[in-house]
Formats: sequence, C-alpha cells, structure tokens
Amino acid sequence: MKALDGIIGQSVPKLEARAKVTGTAVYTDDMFRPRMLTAALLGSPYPHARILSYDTAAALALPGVKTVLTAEDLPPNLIGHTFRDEPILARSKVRYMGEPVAAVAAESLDIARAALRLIEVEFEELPAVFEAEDAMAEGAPILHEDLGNYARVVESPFDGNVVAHIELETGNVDSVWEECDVVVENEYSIPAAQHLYMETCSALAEVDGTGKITVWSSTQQLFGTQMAVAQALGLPMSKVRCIAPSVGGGFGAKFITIEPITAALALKTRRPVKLVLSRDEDMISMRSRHAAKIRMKTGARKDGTLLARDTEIVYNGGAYADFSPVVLEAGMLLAAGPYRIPNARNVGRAVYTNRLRAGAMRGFGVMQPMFAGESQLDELADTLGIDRLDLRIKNAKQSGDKNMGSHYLPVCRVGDCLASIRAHPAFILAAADKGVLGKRRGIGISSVVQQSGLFSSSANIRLAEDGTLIVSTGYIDIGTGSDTSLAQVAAATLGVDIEAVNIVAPDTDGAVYDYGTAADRGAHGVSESVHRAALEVKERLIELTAEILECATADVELRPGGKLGLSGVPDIELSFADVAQRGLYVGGGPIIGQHAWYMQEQTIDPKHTRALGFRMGGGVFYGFAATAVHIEVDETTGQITVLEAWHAADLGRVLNPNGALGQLYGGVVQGISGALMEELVWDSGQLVNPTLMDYKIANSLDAPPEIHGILLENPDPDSPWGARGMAEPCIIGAAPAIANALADATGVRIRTLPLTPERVLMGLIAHED
Amino acid sequence: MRYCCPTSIEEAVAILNTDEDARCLAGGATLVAMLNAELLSPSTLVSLRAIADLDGIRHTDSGITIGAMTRHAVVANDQRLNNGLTVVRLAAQEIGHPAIRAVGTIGGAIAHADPSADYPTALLAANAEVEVIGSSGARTVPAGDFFQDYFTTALAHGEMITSIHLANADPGTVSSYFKVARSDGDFAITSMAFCGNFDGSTCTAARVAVGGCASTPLNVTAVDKMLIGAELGSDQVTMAAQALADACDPIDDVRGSADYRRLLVKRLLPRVLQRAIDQGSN
Repeated sequence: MKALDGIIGQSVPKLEARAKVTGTAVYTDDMFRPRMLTAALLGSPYPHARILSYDTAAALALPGVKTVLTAEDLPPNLIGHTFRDEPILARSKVRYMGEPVAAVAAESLDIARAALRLIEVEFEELPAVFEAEDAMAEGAPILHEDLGNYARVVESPFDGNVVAHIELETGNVDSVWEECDVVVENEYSIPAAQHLYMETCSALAEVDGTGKITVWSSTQQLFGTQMAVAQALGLPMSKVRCIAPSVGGGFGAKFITIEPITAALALKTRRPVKLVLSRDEDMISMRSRHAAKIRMKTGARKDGTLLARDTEIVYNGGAYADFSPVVLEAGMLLAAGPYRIPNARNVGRAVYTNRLRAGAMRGFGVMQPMFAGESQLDELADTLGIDRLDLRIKNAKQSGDKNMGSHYLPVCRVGDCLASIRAHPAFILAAADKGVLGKRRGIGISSVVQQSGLFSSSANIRLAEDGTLIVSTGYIDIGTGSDTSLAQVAAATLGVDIEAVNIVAPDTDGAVYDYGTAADRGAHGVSESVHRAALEVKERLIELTAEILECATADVELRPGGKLGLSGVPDIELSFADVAQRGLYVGGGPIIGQHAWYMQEQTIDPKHTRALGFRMGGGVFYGFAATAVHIEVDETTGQITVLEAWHAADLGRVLNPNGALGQLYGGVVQGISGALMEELVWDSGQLVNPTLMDYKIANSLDAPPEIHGILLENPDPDSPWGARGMAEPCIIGAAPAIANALADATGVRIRTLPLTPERVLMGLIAHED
Repeated sequence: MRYCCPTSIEEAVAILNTDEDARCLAGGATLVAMLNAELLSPSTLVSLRAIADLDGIRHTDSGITIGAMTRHAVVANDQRLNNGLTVVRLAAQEIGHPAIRAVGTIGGAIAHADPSADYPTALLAANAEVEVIGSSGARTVPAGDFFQDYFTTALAHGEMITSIHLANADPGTVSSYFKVARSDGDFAITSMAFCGNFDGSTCTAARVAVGGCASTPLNVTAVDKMLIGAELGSDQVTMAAQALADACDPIDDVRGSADYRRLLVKRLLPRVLQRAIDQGSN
C-alpha cells in the first residue's frame, strides 16, 4: 500500500502554477462574450437614508446605455447567508454609504460610468449610527425595522439593532473569583480590516435561448451563488448555472457578491453583461472583518492554574447580517482559547451599524478574542511571575479534552506546538537578543485554536476510457492549492500518477455539491469525499477485474501506476484502461464512485455548558497552532520591525509540505499586516481609505526575512491520512504575539490594533513618564 | 482624450501651448492612477517618452544634471550621487517598489508635488534647481521656490520640466535621508533630509528639509542657522529640532496625526545628523 499512496506528503507543484505565473490562467475579467455589455453600479451618497424617488430617464437616453435598473425593476426578494435581509439593490432605504442603488449596462465602461452621473435619486437622510455601542443604545436609529419578519437560517435572539446575541457558560464563573490569587481585567479593541484579495469581485452573466442564465464569477462558493441568483431573481435553480474560472483569492469575502445584479442586467438586456469592481468600489461595497470591542477578565491560582475567564464581545456587523451570527458563534465557542479553564463565560452580540457589512474572513470570529486572550495571558504571567510559555503549556488542552459545549477534541497538540517553538534553535538565539538602547528587541508568543470544517461536501469520480480519473467536487481552488492536494488524495487512493487525475473546473451544471471554500474544509470534508469516492471506484475496478480474470475479488490487487493484477502472479496484470473499456463496451457499465459527506455536528451538552442563542454547535474539527515573533522597536519613531517569526501548526498529516508552508507563510504575513497597519477608517459613514494608497497591507519587505514553519503531524482519526486544514489558525496568532513582543521589549502594553508607529510611540512616551 | 508623442522638447512645448488642457505624461506612475480614479481628465496627453534629451544623468563641471524622464531606478543606482548628493539617491531608493521605480520618473514625481513624496524633500535639502522650459524660453527655479502648495508647483501654463540640476557641493559635504512610513514603499508620514558639513560631531553647515508635515516640503533657514556650531547630542540640536517642529503645519490623515508628525520631526533631526556623519566616516 505504501507505494500506492507515496504521493501523500510530497511537495507536488501546484497544478495551475505554470498557467498563473505565465499569465495564461483565465480569470473572469479575461473573458469576453459576443455582444457583451459592461456594467457599473451607483453607490449611495448617504450612510442612512430613505429613497424617495428615482429619475433614470437621462441615463437611459444616453447613447450606448442598454438598461438602468433600480429596486423598482427587480422582484422584492431578499438574500443573505444567515438572515435574508439584503436586497441586491437598495430597496426603500440605504444603510451604508456606497450601497448600490442603481445598476447600468452599456456598450462600454465609459458610457456606463457616464450614465451613473445622470441618474437622479431623491433621498431623505436619516440619523445614522456607526459604532456598535451606539447602535445598542436606547433611541438609536434602527437599521432594519423588519428584522423580525426576515427569513432566517440561524436562530438567535435579536432586538433593535442586535443581529444576534449568544451566551455560553461552563462551570460557574462568578463563584470562583475569590479563589483566584490573581485576576486581570482589561478592554481590547480590534478594527475592521479587509481581505484585499488580488482579484476584485467580478462577474459575467449570459442568458441563453432557453432563458437559462450562466454566471462566471470570482467566487469561493459555487452553489450558494447559484441559490442567491435564483432567489434574488425569482427563478428556479434549474435556470441558473454558475461557473468559477480562476479565482484570485477570497479570504472569506467572496460568498455571493455581485453575481445577482449582473445576472439581473443580463436578464433584462438579453445580452452578456460583465461587471468588474474597481479596487475602491470593492473596498467600499463588499465586506470587512468585524471590528470588535472586548472586555475580558481572567483569573488564576498562584501556581498559574487558570480558574476562570469572563469575556464580553461586541462585533460591529455593519449594515447587513451576512455571516455575523455565525462569526459570533465561532467567537463565543472559542473565546476561552486553547486552554483548560473550568469556569468560562462568553457573552457576545453582533450589531447592525451604518457601515460596510462585516462578513467571513480568515480567522473567522476568533481572531478578535484570541488577540484579547493571548494578550491577557501574558499580562497574567507577568503578574504571577511565571514564564509565559510555561503558563500556556501548563494550561494547554490535551487530546481527549472537551471544548466549550462539551465538544470532544480527539487530537490536540497545542502544548507541543509551543514546546516545538521553544526548542527551535533560532528561537533560543532570538530570545536572548534584547537589542540595544533605542532599538530594543523582544519576543512574543501566542497559541490559538480555530474551529473548522462546515456543512456538506461530495465527490464524484469517473474512470475515463484511458484509465485516467475525472474528479468533480464543486470545491473552488481560490489559490490555496486545494486542486493539487485533492488530486493527490485521488491519486494516492488508486495508486495512479497525478497526471492521470483531472480535477474538473467548478460548474453547477456538472459538479456535485460543495458548501464552499471556507473553514479549512478542503483538507478535511472534501478530501474525505474524494477518498471515499475513489474507494468506490477501486471496488468496482476490483469487481470487474475479478470477472475478467475469473478469480475471486479477494485475489485482485491494486498495483502502482494504474494497474490491477492477480495476487502473487506478477505477470497477470490489467491496466485501468483495460478495465474501464471492458465496463463501457463489454459489460458492467461506466466505473463511477461517489460520496456525500456531512460534518459530524457537535451539539451543546446542557449539563456541561449553559447556552443562549447558540444553534450550530459547531463543525467537525478544531485546529491548534502557536506563533512566535522576534521584533525590534524603533524607540525614536515607534516603528515595529518583525525580524523573524515561527509558526507551529498541529495539522494532523501533511498532504503537500510546500503547499502547507505556502499557506502558513501567507497566513503569518497577513496576520503581521493586520497587526501593524490595517484598519478601515470611516468619517461620518464615509470610508476614508478605500484605496491601496491609503489602506496599506504588508508587502514582501515588511515580511520577516525568515518564517520558520513547523508542521506537527499527529493523524486525525476522522480524516483520510489524518489530515486537517491549517490555513486559518496561522493568521490569528501574529497580532497577540507582536503585542506581547512589544511588551517584552519595552514594557508597553497596547490593547488596540493596529500597532501603528504612532500608537507605539505614544505608548513609549506614556511609559517613560 | 488625445494622445501625442513628440520627439523634441520644442514640439512638446508647442503642443502644451496650443492646448489649454494638455498634460505631460512622463512615467505615468502617478498620472495614470489619477486618470483611473477620474481625478483628472486632460484633453491631451503629451507623452515625453520619445524625447531622448530628457532622459539620463549627466555629469558636468558644475555638478550633476538629471533629465526629467530619468527613472527612479536609474537614480537609485547611480553611485556618482554621493557625499552631499547621496540624499537624492537614498530618496530614489525609498520610492514605492521595484515596479514603480522602473516606470516612475523624477520629473513626473516633482511635477505632482506631493509633500509626502520622497524626491521633493531630498531635492530641497540638496538645494536642487529645476530647469523648466516654456514658449518664452528656459528658466531655472530653485527647489525652495518650485513647490508652492499641495500638488502645486511654480510651473506656468505651457511649461514643462526638462531636468534637475544638482550643483557640486563643498568638499566634505555629507547627506542623509530618513522616512517613517506605514509600510515599505508607502508615502511618508514624515520624512527628513539633510545636507551639510561636520567638524567631528559639530555641524558647520546645514540644510534640513522635512516632508509630510506641511503643504510643501519644508526648509527653515533659522533652523539651519541654529545647527551651525551645534554639537550632536547638545541642547542646541534639541532646540533646533523643536524650532523645526514648531514651523511645521501638518494635518491629521490616515497615515498619522499632526501631533505624531511634529513629534517625529523633533525626534528625527538627531538621527539624520548622525546618519550623515556616519556616511562621511564610511
């Protein structure tokens, strides 16, 4: 068997790498259709206003304009991932500045943009609210008067502007504070940040002669997009086909974007329509990470045993619910961190405000409380006089432990993640390097947990005439390398070369179902589906071979290179092609395997955890990791330079080492970027930095010259070859690690992100006084 | 929008003087971004790429002349820009990223006159002269007069930049440039450039320029004078730094607050002086 699955653990180059590097990969914006129109969207000039009337006559009269749509031209249908609260063009009122109010399709982008300037919309401005705390105050302007009437997928208490409210408690937090020798309590603040995928949101829609719409788009969720287009336009899903060409990143934001409005324009004009957002349009009108305000209190005994943690979080959800209730669930489930804390209470709210909607983003709901928790753990360690790594390792969860809600953790090596960094030779050197006066250096560490793997996946594998495999999952490789690792899984299960695996491009007309590229699902549920489907193919291959060789199925063996033979008789051998063709032309039929998968849902055990407003109970697996950084602080300017970083991932089994390290490096750098420089800034509802000149992200020279990736293998029992996803935890730990390193270097503790040079310098000056 | 590509300076000037709303297109690093953002819509783009006289760095008896179309990457790598002129090379190295430095030009950068950009501050400290030409002939504008306000220069209608002239500095002149920015390659929150001379650690001549702290890069004669005779680390330097910070008129923006910028000006002056001394001793 070893020879068959030798490709597992090999750094197979990404299947599409050459096409992307040479510029031949086709993205949505590269596509053209005959008679194609170009679309543009008109954004709202107010953060909160009633729409009184539209006048589109002048725009429609402009030569080259084919249609102008407003909500009046569309069915009154709402869409949304958790609540259906969102129209595809603002209906009766606008709820954030830049919210699309009208859409134009024209012969060229210049004409479409010119037409936007001719559209007149009469608004009645309403009082607006931008901060979550203000939105919860009595008398605050209400964004969604019809909140109670929305169709909802997630049940959670809601009230006023509160989209969702969750409380979870294990043990009895209030009763144990007196037992604690040390209690630390502080407030932490995390800003809204953005995904900044390289490819902005893009869609191309075309209606065929039967009335069926095909939508190509930059998406990470094929079937959800199909459903949203159908819902928004009042069509059966049988009339909507969605296809994902190459996708330039997503990081959680590309879950239903501009596909419905693009489809509406194509349906109206009966011509192909392409809509590609500019960077500023994308930044203003797509999604952000949730800004969050966190109050956290942690108590411990003198020996460092953690006894209690009390966390209260308010997430700013922006104008529409989107994923807010689920983001809140993830935060509530994990706010106590990867530690054994017998008494933990997490109270959270997600709140509507007149800002850009907040949605899913890498580090989903957890990045915020982990910043607070990992900062607070260092504060606690320092107060107790205990080594920061020792404190974490002492309290780390272990395999077989339970998480909040009594969720079982079959594998947890967070303590080993920490220990592996502590033992790393470069870390030992860095820990001794305190820098010089004016350029002090310090190290910081964090350990984190993320819950991953959601909903349904499936796979279908057919053996082609020549013995190659056609693998269909509907899972979209948005740059993560999932196509390559799924091909490895199929190849390993059947013992064929990776060149013999055809990973089918995601297309709702051909692919089986997948929920979407999120929550590290690829290495888990999707891999499992491919593996099981391949096992079914193997079974059929063996049955047919046994018929051909007139032997028992138990005597047929799979041999490397796509061959089957009679056990113990090397000379008797058939190729996959021989067997496939036998099935097709002689008897037995096509060889097809498939598998349908659903997460093993973990529910809340009421004896273990008291819960309010918690529906999901969570998905299949928990990912653990530890991050460390060595930084230098320029005490003249306040600038932080990350000199070196470590990340240890508890990932079960490595399918593709270079792929895993690529995700790890990217996640750590994105985490550093968020920690040091990323923040969306609004002024009276207007996003003031919607360009890459004003909103900065780390580039190659801001990244540390060396990131040490440590991949800890300990196979997961519920996954083929024991693999777990690992691309979410790696973004989470950088921010608290850097804040902890700053405190280590200078004694300055900053509890607000990002750690800008200004914030650091003001902290240094205050610390000196 | 009309596009033309003249092959001589005379031809370019003629177009600029017949078309009220024409704009010169140099490397396009800034102008094209502004066109894309619909901040500008000139009637004619006058590309300068085919005018060979505008490109390249020339060493003359009086100093160094950098053609307006010289790419940042070329300036960043020209080792003849040393001693008192090192500041210009250092500033070029800090502009954007390799891709931007491969297309952006010194003429385009200073015509844009962003006070947070790298060149204006460095050229002001180096006391550069901007050579411009229009229908009534050529003239020379000192850097201190060239930058007049946010995104506003002394260029008159129909004029264009032909080159930047850097006079030979006194022997022993040293220089330095330091920028504080949010990320590598970003515009400055605050930048500072220095050209001058030292006797040991005592300053004997100084010209300091500050970027990102006013509507133009800032040079304060009184501060330059205060530095003469000042020893590094002395109260005199601290006082000069305070005077320089007081002369700034920064704004709050997404890069940083006005208070932070003033604080940086005070704190950066000793650093640029030290770096200049270090450069001299290397």
